[in-house]
Amino acid sequence: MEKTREKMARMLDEGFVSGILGLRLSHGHPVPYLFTDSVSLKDWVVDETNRYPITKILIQIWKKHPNKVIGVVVRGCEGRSLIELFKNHQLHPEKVKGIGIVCNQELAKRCRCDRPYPSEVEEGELAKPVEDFSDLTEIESLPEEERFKYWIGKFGECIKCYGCRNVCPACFCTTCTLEDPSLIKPGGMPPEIPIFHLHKAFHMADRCIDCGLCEEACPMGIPVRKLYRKVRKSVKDLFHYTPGEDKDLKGPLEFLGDGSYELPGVGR
Amino acid sequence: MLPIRVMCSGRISPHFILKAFQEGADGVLIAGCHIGSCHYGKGNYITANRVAVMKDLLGFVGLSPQRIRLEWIATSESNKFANVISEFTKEITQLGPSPMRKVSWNRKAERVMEPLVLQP
Amino acid sequence: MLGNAMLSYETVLTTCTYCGCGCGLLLEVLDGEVVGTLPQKDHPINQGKLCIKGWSAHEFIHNQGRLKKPLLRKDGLHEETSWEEAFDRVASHLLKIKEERGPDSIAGLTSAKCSNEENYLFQKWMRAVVGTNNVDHCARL
Repeated sequence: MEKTREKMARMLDEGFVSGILGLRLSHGHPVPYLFTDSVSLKDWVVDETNRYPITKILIQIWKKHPNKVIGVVVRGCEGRSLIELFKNHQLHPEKVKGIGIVCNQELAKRCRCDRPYPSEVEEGELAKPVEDFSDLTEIESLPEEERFKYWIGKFGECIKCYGCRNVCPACFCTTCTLEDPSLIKPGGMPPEIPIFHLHKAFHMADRCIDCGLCEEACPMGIPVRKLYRKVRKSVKDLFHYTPGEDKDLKGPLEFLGDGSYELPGVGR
Repeated sequence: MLPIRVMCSGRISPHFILKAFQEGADGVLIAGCHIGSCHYGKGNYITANRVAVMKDLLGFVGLSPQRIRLEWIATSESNKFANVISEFTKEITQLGPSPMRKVSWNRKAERVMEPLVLQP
Repeated sequence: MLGNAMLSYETVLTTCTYCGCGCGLLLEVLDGEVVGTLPQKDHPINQGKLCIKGWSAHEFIHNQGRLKKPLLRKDGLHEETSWEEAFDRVASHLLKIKEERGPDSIAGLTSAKCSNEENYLFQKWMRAVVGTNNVDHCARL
């Protein structure tokens, strides 16, 4: 960590960035903080068990100070979210400086991450990507009726806390579909099942970066990440598009209209 | 069968399809202009992409992906329109009513928690 | 250095005021103003999860509808007064009621939108100074 800390201190001292967003130890707990001078960097920590939606916080800060250049400490998934946010014009690539850190192999396995390292890192060993779709094949092996019963049972526990949406780094819409009164009844419990979760799942088809924060934020333990991984896999198999990989390629569900994502057999 | 007219198949948001299933529809048929002859340019390309992803998603959740169908029907092909509709209706009758109808929370008349009304 | 506005962002550890669970929250403070809430991931009670009330726990802090001055009813209308006049009025009336009808004829109601420390102070004051157990909270805390 020391090389990264030195690099961050140099960036702050030379005025390259106005501040760096990372985790700081406060009363023994790692919490997000914006470091504005190199002296405070001695409290900077990297925590493997507690992950926060740091790129979402960055959007909030940058919207208020659009002229400042802000650095941010990113892992693999957060680096992908930066690329997605650049594509959607929520952040400007020249006003954000990413500082890469690695995830260890245990975290990569827990997250089933297929790219547990950002595009550039200062130090550390890159973990090996984990290709594990056993959570999806488990559900797909069930017959249709049982699958439906399983999902309705899980969705029925939802308390409409909007945690999955609030913590998601890819969710930045100012008017959310889940709060649209013509689609979802405002107030009232339980939410409309299953479309409450399927609405967001469809949005995640070309935006989800597979960070896993949504499932960690659900108080009822609904396996929403499986839904998002499934649509992500569908988009990858059908259109060969993975969100967060290429910063110039737009997704297939955005209105391109130039036939660049034409499916075979569509024009029959 | 409830026909809903839109100006272009590209107007059909995936959220409309989901809402139709929530309200109890057994199947959704989307009929658009042929590829290359969309009145607005290229709206039907995006519809094709959306329906492809939606089928996978619904299949994963347990609603048969055969309940959504996308067809390219030009304005003059009235025979094809009639045939597609009768075919689709037959398919849906075979598949049976939508499993959403069996979910007790989804009945519009019933709400699990009624609002408390205080008598004066 | 770059730009002229002060830039500062920090998150403050605190506990949710709404119900008796006591979930750990982080209040996001951007340039001295509370703008959002995040769950505290390593808290033993909620482990990084929050209910809808917890997610909106920051909204009442800077709300425009909050009173800034005490209001006293004069001739049927609420008028702004000073803190001294309000304290004098409340103290004298409560003392009179306590002497005439006993301490148990006074009850206190607090709110989930006060901090936990303010609620503790209130119930301590009711019990020690006024001398009654009749104190309650909107979430029955």
